[in-house]
Amino acid sequence: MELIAKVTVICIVVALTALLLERDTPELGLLLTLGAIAVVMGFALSYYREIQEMVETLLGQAGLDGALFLPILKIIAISMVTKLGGDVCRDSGQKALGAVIDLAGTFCSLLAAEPLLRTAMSMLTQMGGIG
Amino acid sequence: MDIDLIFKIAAIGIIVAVLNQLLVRSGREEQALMTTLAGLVVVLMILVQEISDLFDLIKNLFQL
Repeated sequence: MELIAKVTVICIVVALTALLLERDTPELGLLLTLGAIAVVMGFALSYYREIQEMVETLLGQAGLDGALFLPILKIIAISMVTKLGGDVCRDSGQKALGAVIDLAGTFCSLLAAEPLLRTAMSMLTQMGGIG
Repeated sequence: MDIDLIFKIAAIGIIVAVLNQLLVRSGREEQALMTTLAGLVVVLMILVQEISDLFDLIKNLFQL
């Protein structure tokens, strides 16, 4: 709760200041937004360890392999970076660059999910008696 | 990540915007452009390190 209040206040102050800066120097407004993203992401990610521990406990209780969860983590990170990068480009009016970042993110996510897909395929072939 | 970074960038931005306005009103558009460029480079130099730190943090946390 403390985190969300802090993040909301920071973001509103930054949005107002960026509006002020964008009248004369739009590029500095964008850089201010980028700085705020770095700071707020740093705050949010500082809580990540607790979430990871909770997920590992749940996986242990369910008797699942932790390695299966790794691709999901990677895809979360890729989508975070892709979403932020794409939206920063779109905010500065470069929609094509945003679309390229989205596309690259999609490919990276597919690559990261490849071990999961391979495992699922081998399970299916074993169940079907094909392999 | 420190919140001072945001205040630092906002302060530089406001100073540059004011200088830009003053120089434009006094008919020195080239110097106004140079001031804006200088501000941009200074902020970029501060920010590149922070963005790099953020990406390193994401890489380490998510084992990318």
